[in-house]
Amino acid sequence: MRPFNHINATTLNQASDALKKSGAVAAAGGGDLFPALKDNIFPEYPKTVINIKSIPDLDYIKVDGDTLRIGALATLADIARSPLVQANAPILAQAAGRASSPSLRETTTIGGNVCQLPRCWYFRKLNNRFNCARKGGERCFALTGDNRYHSIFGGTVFETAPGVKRTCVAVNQGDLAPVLMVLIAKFVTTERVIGNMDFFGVGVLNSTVLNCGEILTEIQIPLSEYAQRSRYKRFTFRKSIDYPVLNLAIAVNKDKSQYHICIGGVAPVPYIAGNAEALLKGREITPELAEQAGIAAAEGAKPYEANAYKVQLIKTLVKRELLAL
Amino acid sequence: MADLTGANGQRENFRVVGKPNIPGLTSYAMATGIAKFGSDFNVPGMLFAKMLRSPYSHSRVLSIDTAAALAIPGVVDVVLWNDPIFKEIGSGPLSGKKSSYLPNEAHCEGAEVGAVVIAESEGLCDEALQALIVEWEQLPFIVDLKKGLDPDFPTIRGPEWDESDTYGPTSVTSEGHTWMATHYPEDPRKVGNVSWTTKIEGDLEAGWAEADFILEYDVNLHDVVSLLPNPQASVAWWTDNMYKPGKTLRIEGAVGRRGMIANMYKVPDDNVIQEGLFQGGKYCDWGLRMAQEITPLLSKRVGGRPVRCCNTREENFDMCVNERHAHIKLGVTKDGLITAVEDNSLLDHGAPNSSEMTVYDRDWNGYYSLKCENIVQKYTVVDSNRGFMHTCGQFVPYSWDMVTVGIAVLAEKLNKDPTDLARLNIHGPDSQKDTRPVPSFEACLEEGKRLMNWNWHKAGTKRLPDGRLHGASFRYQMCPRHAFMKYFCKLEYRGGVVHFPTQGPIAGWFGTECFTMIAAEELGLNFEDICVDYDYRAEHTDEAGGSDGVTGHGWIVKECANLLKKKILESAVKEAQIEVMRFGPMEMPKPPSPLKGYTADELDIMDGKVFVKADPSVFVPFSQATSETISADYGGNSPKSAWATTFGRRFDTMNTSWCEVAVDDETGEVEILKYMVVADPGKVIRRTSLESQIDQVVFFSQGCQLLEEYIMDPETGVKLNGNMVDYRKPTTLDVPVVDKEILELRSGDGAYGASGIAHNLANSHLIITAIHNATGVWVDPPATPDRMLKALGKC
Repeated sequence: MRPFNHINATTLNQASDALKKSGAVAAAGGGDLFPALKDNIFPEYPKTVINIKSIPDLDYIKVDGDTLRIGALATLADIARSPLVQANAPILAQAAGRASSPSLRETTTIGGNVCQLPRCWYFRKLNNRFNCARKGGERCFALTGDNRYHSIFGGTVFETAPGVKRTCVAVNQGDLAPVLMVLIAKFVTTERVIGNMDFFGVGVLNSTVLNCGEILTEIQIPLSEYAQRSRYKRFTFRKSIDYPVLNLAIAVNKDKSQYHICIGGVAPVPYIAGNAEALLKGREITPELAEQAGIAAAEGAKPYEANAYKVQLIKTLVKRELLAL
Repeated sequence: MADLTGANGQRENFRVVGKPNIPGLTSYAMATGIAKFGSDFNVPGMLFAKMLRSPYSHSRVLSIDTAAALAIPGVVDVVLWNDPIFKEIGSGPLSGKKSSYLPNEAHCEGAEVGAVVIAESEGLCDEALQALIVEWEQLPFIVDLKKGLDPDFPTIRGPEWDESDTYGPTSVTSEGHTWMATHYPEDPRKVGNVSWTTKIEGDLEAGWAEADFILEYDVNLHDVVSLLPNPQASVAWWTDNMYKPGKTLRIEGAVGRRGMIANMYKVPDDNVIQEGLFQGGKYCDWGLRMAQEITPLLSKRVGGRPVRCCNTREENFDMCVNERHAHIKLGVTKDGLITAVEDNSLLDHGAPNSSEMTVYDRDWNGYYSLKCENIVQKYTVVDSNRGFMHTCGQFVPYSWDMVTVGIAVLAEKLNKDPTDLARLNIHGPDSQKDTRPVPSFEACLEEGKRLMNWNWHKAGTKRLPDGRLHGASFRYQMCPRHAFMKYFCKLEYRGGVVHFPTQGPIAGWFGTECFTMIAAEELGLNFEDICVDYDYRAEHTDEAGGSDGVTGHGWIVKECANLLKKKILESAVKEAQIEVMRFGPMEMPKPPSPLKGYTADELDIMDGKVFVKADPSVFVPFSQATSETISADYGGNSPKSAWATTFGRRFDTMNTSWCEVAVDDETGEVEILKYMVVADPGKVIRRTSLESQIDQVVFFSQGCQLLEEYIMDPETGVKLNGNMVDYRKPTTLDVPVVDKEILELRSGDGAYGASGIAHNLANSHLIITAIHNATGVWVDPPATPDRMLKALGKC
């Protein structure tokens, strides 16, 4: 790791101002940033790391009226073992408790988890070996390379510079993202409140819609009936450490008038399985319906040869989790 | 050949050898972090070094502008490939280098090339490397072997890698078998990137004629990494030593004996100090990495200041076992007897100077376990830029699975239990013509069947209550023991205590503990009675090579211990005759010894006493047996090893492995329900070592078959997953505890009838075969869900 300046921020304003300066990056738990620095994956090596974990009182977990509020600096381990989360958003506790590895869960935060950069091996290769579109480069190497873990629902076109559009097929593999989507979470930042459908995005060195210097401060989850009837499934090749190849969150309201299904690891942002939701609306789950919903969830997929298995996984896992709901 | 001829070869009762839970002498140090590995050494005034590594799979450094790097405060030096200093280093152990020590051509991505930077910190080294302005020439590369077969593809190895000298006469063992041949004189000469070589035994045409049908099948092996768990690192510096002429080199972290390093740096052994004991665990892999060799050179460059060089985890992902695609034809009678074997394999030659032994092995394979003597092995070998293969023995067990798969395919075709087909085809103890049963094989087979409740079914015909498909498989193999090396042992009785001086180094297999147990057994002592003196100057080394070396080396220790025992008893008898004690000019009467009047033959040692065999109540404490300091040295070869000289054409100790899996055919997930090893290592020396060797080798095998593979970008040849997240070594949650049943038929040819255990339990296809039994489809390893679903036609 190369030398850099280090600032322990004590206020959000201080951190935000510092982050607006060129060459500054934020670190909370550091689970995403420090390996990236060690591997030297960025086009420009950061000059300054702003430690935002030193900002007090941002690691709370509390219920406030009809909302579960989680500070962005709450660790995954704290979320997993929180009675409040277990009671009011059990699949969030499950997802947090299975992410990464036990030791990393003690340090990494919910804010860092939802803001993490893609795990694409072209993006992550040492010494910025592939200066890909997601880093502002010319192309997405996975489009023609080994894309077995990449999107089956196409790439996202985004601006790498004013007027310059490129595509990225790296997927969002965060553990918590699909869960927060089906629980209709809100994301509070230093500048605004962002709804679940609008938070995740694709940009240069960005997996969210956060602007430069904008800091995620809180996640709000409405205490709703969805949280009480929900499932989370994490599909990995290894039972520990792995990022999910595919993860799935399902929630349904009490009268089953509305199902929420979100799948991670299959698209550049968490994928809402709208066709399956529409199919299921207002209906009781039967084996036949679950199977149809699995097929509907995978509709529209345009996989590459190497990642066609994800279509089968969607069909199977959606079916199984609906039956287990 | 049973161990019956040496001292105590027929020992029936063991007090120490085989005893469970003998603690590792260095376990506390390793478990508590006291142990210092190469990367742990911090020396005052230490500098750091890092090598430039190629970002391309095949490249040449044309020039490097170092000005910007050298301008960074704290950067001490940048040494380029053409610096005369690299002429001062000789060949490293097991890594003979044909070109410059630091070349300007890289034959795989990540290879060290062109420059080394030296700076005050590792971070500054990184910064300096980034500041180098390197003019690269990208060269044609091969990471797809089939592309390498194209005769029009440019040649990727220069003339300095000409192999014409390897087409000469081949080595022949004392048993008359050729071995370690890369090429035979009759082989066609290499063209471009492709070599061909054929090993012919027996009469293939006669074998086809005897057969009722021909069975063809493919076995594909992918390349995997052994992954040394500790980062390869060394720190070295040069000092003046008032007691020795010339400079003294202090080096820590280099694998191997100090003599190897002394040889590289052309200094006397006595001028090398290597006190650090710990190398870190490894599974074979005898190649030093540049980070472990280069520091003395760099220290010299900076006037003797200590220099440390440490590989990163990612830099550790160099290749271990190479890719191979075998198409095999068997001639078979209607009863299932194999009459002919033709193996056509396409293999990866790896980057230049990879281990030829690893690539070209056609000796240690399952074919010689068959009664069939008509065997032709045709290899097509393609130069590649996939990676560098260090010398290691994992290829040995892998080759055996050509037969494991063949028997499974045959079982399916004939609807016969594969264990019966194995029994039909395996030859007898003494030769391929011998039709008698092999006792060790029979014992391992029967015990395995019993413990597995073995009830073979045809492929794809059994579902478990939870809906998953059930499959099971078995394989057999010979237990290994190499006897290539001369071993040496010295034991010393001093001040009433037996000392066992050894230089280590410690690489994870606890050989010293095994040797100590053997010495204690022979001397009638307990394990803790022997004082192990770790001393880098000692002649003895732990580097016997895993279990297969330990049992051979153990023979030497056994002989040495008996020599020492004889000398102690003779000295005790001599001293018992003395009636007067002298202290300077004074004399005083000595109390009469109870051993007075006996001969050495009439005495024995047991439980801390030297006693009269005819009347054990007459004794002196072992610590008072003699006031003399007595030493015994013994060196040489252990008895010939059937494994190392006949490659499976003779059998002594055997093993069987068994696997039961459940396959979810909707998700492609494979779960190993049970993995069992029934092994007859001949005689267990240290059970903890034996069991952990089995665990380690099975872990390796499970990882290779379920998860591990190198993935390279097809466009650039760059390795995409050389890290612990993406390469996916299994975690302990991914594989079950290995059930082990250990038999001791004592038919090995090491100490006490022991043989080795580790290597030959490694396999590439036991789990894959069980998956086939479950699903009816063959999947190439690793059987990850994506590959499984594809094989099952689900995507």
